[in-house]
Amino acid sequence: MANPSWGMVIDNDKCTGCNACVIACQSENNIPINEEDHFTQRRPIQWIRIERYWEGEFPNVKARFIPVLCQHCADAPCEPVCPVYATYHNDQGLNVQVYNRCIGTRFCANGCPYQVRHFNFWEPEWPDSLENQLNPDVTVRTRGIMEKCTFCVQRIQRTKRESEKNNTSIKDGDRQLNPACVNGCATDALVFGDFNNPESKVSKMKKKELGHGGHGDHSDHDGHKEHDEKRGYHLLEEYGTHPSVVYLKKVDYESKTVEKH
Amino acid sequence: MGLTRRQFLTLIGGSTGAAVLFQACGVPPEELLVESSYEMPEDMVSGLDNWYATTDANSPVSNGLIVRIMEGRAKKIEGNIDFPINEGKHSAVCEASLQSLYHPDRIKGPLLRVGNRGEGKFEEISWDNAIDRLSSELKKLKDSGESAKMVFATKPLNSQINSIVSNFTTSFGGNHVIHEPLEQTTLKNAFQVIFGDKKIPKFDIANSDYILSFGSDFLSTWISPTEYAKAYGQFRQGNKTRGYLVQVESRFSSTAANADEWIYTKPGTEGILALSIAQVIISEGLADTQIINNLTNNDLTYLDQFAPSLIASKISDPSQNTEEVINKITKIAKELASHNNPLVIGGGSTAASTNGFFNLKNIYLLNYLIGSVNNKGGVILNPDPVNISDLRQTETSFSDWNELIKKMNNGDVKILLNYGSDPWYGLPDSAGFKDAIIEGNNGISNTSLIVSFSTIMDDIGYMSDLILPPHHFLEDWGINTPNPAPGHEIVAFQQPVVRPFFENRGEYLGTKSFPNILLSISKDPNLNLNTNFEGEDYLSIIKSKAKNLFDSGKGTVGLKNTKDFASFESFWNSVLQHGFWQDTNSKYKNKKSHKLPQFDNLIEEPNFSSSENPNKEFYLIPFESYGLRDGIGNSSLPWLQALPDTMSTAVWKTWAEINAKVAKDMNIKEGDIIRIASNFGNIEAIAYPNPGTPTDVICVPLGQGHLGGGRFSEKRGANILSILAPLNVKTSGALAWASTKVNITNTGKWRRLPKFENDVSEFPTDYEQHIIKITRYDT
Repeated sequence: MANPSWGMVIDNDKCTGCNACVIACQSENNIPINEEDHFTQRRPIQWIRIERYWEGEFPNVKARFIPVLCQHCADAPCEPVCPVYATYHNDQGLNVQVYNRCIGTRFCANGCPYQVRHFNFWEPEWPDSLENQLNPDVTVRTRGIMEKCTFCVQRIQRTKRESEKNNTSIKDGDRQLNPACVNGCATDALVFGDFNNPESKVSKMKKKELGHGGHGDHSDHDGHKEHDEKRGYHLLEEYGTHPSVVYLKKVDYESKTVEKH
Repeated sequence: MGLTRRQFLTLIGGSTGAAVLFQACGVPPEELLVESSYEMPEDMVSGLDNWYATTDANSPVSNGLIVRIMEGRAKKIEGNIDFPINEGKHSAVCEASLQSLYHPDRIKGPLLRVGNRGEGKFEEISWDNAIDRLSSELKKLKDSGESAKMVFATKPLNSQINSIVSNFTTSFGGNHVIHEPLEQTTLKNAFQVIFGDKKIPKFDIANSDYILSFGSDFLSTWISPTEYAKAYGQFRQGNKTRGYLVQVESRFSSTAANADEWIYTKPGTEGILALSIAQVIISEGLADTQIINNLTNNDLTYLDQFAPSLIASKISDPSQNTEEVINKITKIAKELASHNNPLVIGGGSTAASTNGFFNLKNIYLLNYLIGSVNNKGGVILNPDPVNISDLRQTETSFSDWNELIKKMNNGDVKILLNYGSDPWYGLPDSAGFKDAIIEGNNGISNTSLIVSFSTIMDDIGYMSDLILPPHHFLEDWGINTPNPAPGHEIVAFQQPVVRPFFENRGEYLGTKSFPNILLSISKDPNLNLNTNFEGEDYLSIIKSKAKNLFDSGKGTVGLKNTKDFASFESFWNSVLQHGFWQDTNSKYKNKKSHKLPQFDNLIEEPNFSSSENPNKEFYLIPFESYGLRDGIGNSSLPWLQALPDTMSTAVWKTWAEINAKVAKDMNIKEGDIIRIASNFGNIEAIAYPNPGTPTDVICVPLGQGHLGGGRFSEKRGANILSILAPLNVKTSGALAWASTKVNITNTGKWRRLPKFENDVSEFPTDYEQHIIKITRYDT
């Protein structure tokens, strides 16, 4: 059987910008506490973030939200620039960071057009007893190295091991397999799965939604077919990075247009 | 056997003889393959984990949770996928309860005040000592025949704890009161009048195709946001036509941002808009004639004074085109009436102006007009909670608190007990609670003993004389009836998923289960309380409640019917494993006694407190941010402090949202520290000019400005609640927290606003290339 190719589909029409994914990620992945100074110095660490964009002015104002995380690009600009091979592409479609190889040149962060790589400018600190919450499956990164979204590789590995042990196959949409942000997303805007499995939910969504000029079945609130355009797109696809994350456009009926973030 | 190249090199490079020997002995070849560890360190074999089901006892919504436990420590919280309300999802607030469990400033044992009240000096005493002190004070009060001078304040509780507190207080002869800063009293009173029932109904957002929402930020903070957000996902991109959301609100909130249409109305005029919509529907005959007659006293001209053309200028901002507003109202009314599964909801700031009850009543009556009560996609009324005990909530409105504060000043409250609420933080300064506690009428407070059951040194804890730290909800038992229920009867069970964190401090220090503290005091023979608890300790009480459920034979646990369980023990184990019991067959039963009210046909205008300079005043709209909510409990947690606010992305501080153009005219830029002054006080906040805030309002988040709360919250930002005018909502007596007018002045000070978004207002003009600049194009 082919190796899995892990990926995500993010539906911007469902995302409310609530930030539940951000906390879920911080809790799962031992991300240091972002103190006030970290924000004023523009150095908070968030493996997944919600970007908010204003559009127009009161009273005709809109705000758009888009969750951005590591796109796990098939042709990742961050990988070839690393002098010590600390970041590489594994056989499951993940863009992986090996923390104990990283020497902190930050070339990868320069190369990444999505701004999802974070440098540890400080030694991470958890006051006293808060350390009890740290996830033992995830390494705590020291000062001076890069970190980024791993698609919760520890969950993938755990599920893989357990399925090998029990001689079962990995179920699509298994909550033990899903990254923490996916389980935390209240609106189900984030969907995770294997793009190499044609039966997975992400594969079906990608097939249905990616590409232009097809036949999407989105009708407007009056039930009229207004858009035939499929909603799928990649973030900054013109860079040719071939991301493993597919975005679905937000639908905006007021202007009778489909909006691309 | 064949040698691979790697094996060959190993053989050559190593000790050839030994290698040959190993090969000869049948050592598997892979043991000689030494690779550098190119897989992530996460590839280590991980330890065993267990997930236990429990309930979020922090909020009345009581979401079902599962908690990951490794080596006796809680590591991660997620939603319980089987729980019918949150369906596997959880909010940031639930997630962050891990930090309140392991908070570095959590109180480790009973504390006794040693300095003056409010000085914050405490010393640790033993539990025996602490409980003796409380018991003897209670006894003194009782012996002097002043039992009524004991007050027990709690947050709204939906759990068995509520009946224990009530039972304890009543049997002593005291008063059980509730406090939450943004109280739901008005909403519940409106439900009582309209649906004949105080319980919050289920809003079937998932199956709705058109939602008209007034002032309720239901995607972020209002009532049960996780449940509503889950349903919103279905509403948008489920297996049906995409739903259409119209948000009417005075603030550009997260829900307004996600709505297809946002309509600004002046604060407090939402009810007038609702009546205008009703007028269009009625005058155009878009609803059932019988229903129209019932709601309008058989008079088709009943609401004519609310015709869009007559009220448009009353509700809108002067900068808005009146013609456009009229068209919008007419359009929404027609759309609302023409959809199959429409839904109208309202709350939040709409309920918090002085005419909040008028607003809500007419907003929710629209549901009857368009026939969406107890219909798919509409308002689904909930059945009465299963009758396992009296879990009904006590209710206390702001006007009740005013009475109470008067009593405190008159010396009619001697002992104030507090659990989970924080009236010091949550009541406006103008209510006089702070003075009553610190000074009283004669320089000495008449309330001689304040006891707080706080897990962390919160504001009221700071002012207390005795602090008895309870277990965290993850360390304790519990039984909750979620409000709102999911349309049928449900009971959520809470179990200790970890052993108490301070257990190793022994019996005399550490924390204790809150209900058990009350149970042990009530057993004090000197007090002679007649409490009738159904068990010796909290666990046995809960078990007896579960036994009642088991004996009723109704409902299911997991997939198994209650009556199929062989014994109570197997039922109990199953309930703890699944975290809840439910009876999906139980539905709302029509109450014949309920008489549907009619629309109001007199305009009820909102009142506002005046400000010093009426020519340059703003409506003040305090709001809850997604992380900190009302600021009670949440602001001590660093994850929530560092969680970017949905709209401003601001963190850690108190900011003030102000319209960008207005700010420019007033020469205010981002980071300027502005003074927000009402006639009842002033605070300073960092200005956040943005294009979304309406021109005549200023919006300030709750949550900061704490006296205590540990290292992450104390003396940080300002508390907007402190400057609110002490106005009541008519009929319900709740605090009208959205009816204060304020003036704004620039203090001339500046500090960088900590926020997640960048300062660059406009990206480079290379639109084609830029990352996520929104581009708009027609299909």
